[in-house]
Amino acid sequence: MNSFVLVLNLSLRNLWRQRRRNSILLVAISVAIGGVIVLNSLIRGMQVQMVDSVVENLSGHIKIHSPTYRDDPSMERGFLPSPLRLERAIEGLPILGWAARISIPAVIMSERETRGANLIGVDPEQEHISIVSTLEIDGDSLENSFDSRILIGRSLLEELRTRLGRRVVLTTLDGNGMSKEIGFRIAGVYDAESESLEKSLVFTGRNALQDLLETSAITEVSIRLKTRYVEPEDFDQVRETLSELDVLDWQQVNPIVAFMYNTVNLVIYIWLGIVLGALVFGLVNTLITAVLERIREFGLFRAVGMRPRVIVAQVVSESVCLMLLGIVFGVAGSLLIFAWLHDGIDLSAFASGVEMMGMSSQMKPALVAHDVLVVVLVSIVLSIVASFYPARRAVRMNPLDALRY
Amino acid sequence: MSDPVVQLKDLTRIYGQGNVAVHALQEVSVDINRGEFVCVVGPSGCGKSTMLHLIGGLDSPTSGTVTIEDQDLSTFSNNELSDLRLRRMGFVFQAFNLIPVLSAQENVEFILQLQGAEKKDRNARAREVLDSVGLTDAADRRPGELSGGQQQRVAVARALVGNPLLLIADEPSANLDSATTRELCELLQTINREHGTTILIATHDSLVMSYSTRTIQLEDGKIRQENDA
Repeated sequence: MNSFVLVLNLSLRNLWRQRRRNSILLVAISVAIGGVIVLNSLIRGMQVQMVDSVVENLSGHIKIHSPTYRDDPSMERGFLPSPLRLERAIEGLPILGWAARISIPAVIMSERETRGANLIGVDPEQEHISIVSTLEIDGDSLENSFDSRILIGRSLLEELRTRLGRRVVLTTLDGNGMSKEIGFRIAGVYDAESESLEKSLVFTGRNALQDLLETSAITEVSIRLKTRYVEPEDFDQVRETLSELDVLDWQQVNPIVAFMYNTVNLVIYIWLGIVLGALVFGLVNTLITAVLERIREFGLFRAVGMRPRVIVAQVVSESVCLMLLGIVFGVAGSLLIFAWLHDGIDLSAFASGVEMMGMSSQMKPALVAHDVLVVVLVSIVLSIVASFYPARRAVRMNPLDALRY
Repeated sequence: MSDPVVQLKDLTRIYGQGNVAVHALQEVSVDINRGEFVCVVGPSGCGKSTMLHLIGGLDSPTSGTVTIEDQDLSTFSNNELSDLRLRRMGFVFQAFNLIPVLSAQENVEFILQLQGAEKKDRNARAREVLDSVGLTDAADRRPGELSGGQQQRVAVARALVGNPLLLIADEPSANLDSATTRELCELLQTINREHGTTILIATHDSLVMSYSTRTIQLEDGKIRQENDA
């Protein structure tokens, strides 16, 4: 305890003795740590937005299809819903809700143009879990599952050169693989953040679509959890209970977004390694200078009987004290910047680029305690590692040479 | 009856090898008894400092043995040598070597802190030793605020605070004027007489020699002459 107090006392006073030099290093440490935390929070924010966006855009956390649907997404590959089995599959899970849908490819024709789209049969009461409930709609929303009108995206409406209230014809295949042409009236026009979503999704009532296609099947069930991520054991529970169906998590449904999501984790650690690695060289340089300046002092310590490990502890504690101060200032600074950026950064100028990554045009940072903790712990460990070489120099110097230095 | 604290037997220290080998000490054998005030004297390069460093366990002999209280230093590990210096020896250096970020009192307490003494005890003991070297009023000053003589007295206080068996001083008066040297020597003499501390000083200052009870004269690494006062 005595040695610890002595070491700490000497370290703090020595840091203060070279306050100008150490202040510069302290600023560098604070900026590096604060910068890493802020950038990590922006990257995490982007990652969170990616996940939220794909989960809301009809994927949900877990999606259920018939086993062959993904090879050929058509009504022929639908399945008969069994709410009782579904309830058993999701029993005990933190469920926000689930929605049974029909999602089939279709060709949509106006009086002037023809386009390809996905025709989605939904039950508006179940769609509080998806983007359908939050769309800004010009005109009417779907009233219920039996509503046989359609909601169409504004971009698609413009491409079809038609307008609200007009009729369009959708051609698709029914449950027997036979072509069907169905006329729909445009009840509403929706605006979404994503232009590609506006161009590709056409919504109608699920029961109405089932009647029109003369089927009682659905093509998918989407499950949304209250949590942001699905726990592996929860996913396994659903998959095992509905083993005859194709049960997918959001990463399997959206492999490109999943790849970007996982790459972001790697980017965070690579970035952390580069910045803190560079910082270590600055720290080592300063500590070596400090050791060489005080070489007589270390010689004296050895001569009067200070054990080598106490000398090592002194150099290490100087490094750790400096790093801890840098961490305090860096974290405090990053929290201030985080508070300032809390409402998000407007990326609307790069709208098409960010849309590709499944993000909204407002980039919001997300401060993850685990990330901050990793930065803090890695910084402390690096400050210890950085001090070993200077400490070794201090200890290995012959006390007589040091006293004559 | 003699009571040797330090025994040197055939002590040899050679620096370098071959043509550039320097024989700093050559087969030196001498005993230093408890309570003696011994000056090791001789011209520069005669081996005075080498002898002190070997006795202090700061250097290892090429051959021969150094025995402190019947214990051969060659059998000590580095940590045991550190403990020996910390608990049984006190050092005073030519350049004072005080720790600049600590006050005079803290410089003295530093040794007690390494020894593991309680704060209250070390505070009282440091005050007591500073009083004995006449630095009561300078206890809170840092080395940079003290004169050379005062700094050397702090160094003496630091060497004495742990009640060492042996006080080793290497050219302690080299940076002091004659008046300050006299004060320092009187202080060392008082310590030697009142506490029985064995004092071993390397010097070529005749004023310092005049306070010793014995002088060992070295020349070219060999003992040329020993004189009792």
